[in-house]
Amino acid sequence: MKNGVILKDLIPFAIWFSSMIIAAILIDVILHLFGIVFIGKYLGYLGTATILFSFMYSLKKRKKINFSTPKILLDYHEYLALSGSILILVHAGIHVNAILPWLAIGMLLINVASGLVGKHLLAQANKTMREKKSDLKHSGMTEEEITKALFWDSTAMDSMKKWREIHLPITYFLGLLSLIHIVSVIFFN
Amino acid sequence: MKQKHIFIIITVIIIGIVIAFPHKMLSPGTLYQAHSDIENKCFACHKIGAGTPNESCISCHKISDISKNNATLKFHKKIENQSCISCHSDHKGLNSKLALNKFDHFLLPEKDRNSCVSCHAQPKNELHNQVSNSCVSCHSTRSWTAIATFNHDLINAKSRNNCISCHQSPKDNFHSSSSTNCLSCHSIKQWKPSTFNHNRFFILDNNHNVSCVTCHKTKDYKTYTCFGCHEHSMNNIREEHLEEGITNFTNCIKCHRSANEHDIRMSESDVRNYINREFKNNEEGDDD
Repeated sequence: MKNGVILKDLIPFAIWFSSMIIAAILIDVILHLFGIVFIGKYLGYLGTATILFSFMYSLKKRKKINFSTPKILLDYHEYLALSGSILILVHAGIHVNAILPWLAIGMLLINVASGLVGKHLLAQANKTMREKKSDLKHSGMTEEEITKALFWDSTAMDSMKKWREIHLPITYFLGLLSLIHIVSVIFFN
Repeated sequence: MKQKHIFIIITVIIIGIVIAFPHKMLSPGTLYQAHSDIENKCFACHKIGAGTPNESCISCHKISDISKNNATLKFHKKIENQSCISCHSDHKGLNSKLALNKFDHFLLPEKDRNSCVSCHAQPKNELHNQVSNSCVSCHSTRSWTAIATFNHDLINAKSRNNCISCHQSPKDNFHSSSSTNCLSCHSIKQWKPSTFNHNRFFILDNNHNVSCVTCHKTKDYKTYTCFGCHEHSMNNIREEHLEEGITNFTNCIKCHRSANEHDIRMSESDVRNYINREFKNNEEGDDD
């Protein structure tokens, strides 16, 4: 049981998270090697735009846009947010001095970690639903009865709802800290 | 609704802290020592929405004051239209040298950018006296020492074949005893591998494809021994050669140019003469 949690939950999480950090370090090393560190400044803009673009999924969920499907946009949300985070990490490098950018970077890392947990929980919820559907099918229930039964079975979806209650405030404060950082840069630069 | 209020309160607190402690929250680093008196006066240098205009710097630092000598003044005149902070930034600690950015040569007017000697003195050494072309053929503005590949064609024709006018001759016995031109073994593209033709002395076939020290026991590559491997024991060689009447069998390559014992360097008549001479020497020796 303990080994299962480590193999199925912790290791994939650690791989995703450390891959993001390693990718950011590698890009930073390349920028230093080729003497093009100034690009880091522009990666901040690009990273922010990438992350903002990933919010298409949130707009779709709130029915603000009509194109594409939630499933496709969720995939984009995951990969764009992760790519944008890598670019922001390169932008920050290790040259952050003021408290506010540190807080923003800390919040970004927490947000990515939270996103990875959400990804895992969603996969778990889908798996549970598939298993339950299969069990109900074998018990002789009709498709309509199965749909009805699963609709009222909210145990799998509850965990997603609880997770969203944490993920959204984290995202909000990341946005707030980033916005103050951007405004201060426009203000002083 | 309650959650919304908590969000608003925390947001206001964060913004309040940033406004109350802007230096701690936003400043990207300590100013250098000479600027310590304006450490907390952001607007002494920064103007809202206009960054750090030159006027802020010049209000304290007149160009005539900052230029310690004529060359510095001349240099700053060339880039007077550029932003001061392109080179002189701050917030990088107390040491003012840390606040000096790497000079970007694109800040220079095109005329000066293409004329390195308008700012840099040409090195006075033998190599630079010989090269005739422009600096950028070898050096980049990124780094003086970042020479990708030195193009030997830039050296004037007279000096091009005189390698030791720039390169030091290796100090090992092999090279110090060699009087031939470096280019007979080495190329100007790269020092290694050399094209030294060992076959001129002895053909290294599959059985002799061994490390140099198997035969050359010292750094003097003119000396060698063939008795370094079990195939050629001193007794075997002695026996074989004495049968032929040859007593001088230590300088193998004098006669043998490869592992094939019949592949003799001398002509048949020379071999006969050599053996006769050996016989005669031995007989004279016996008489004594």
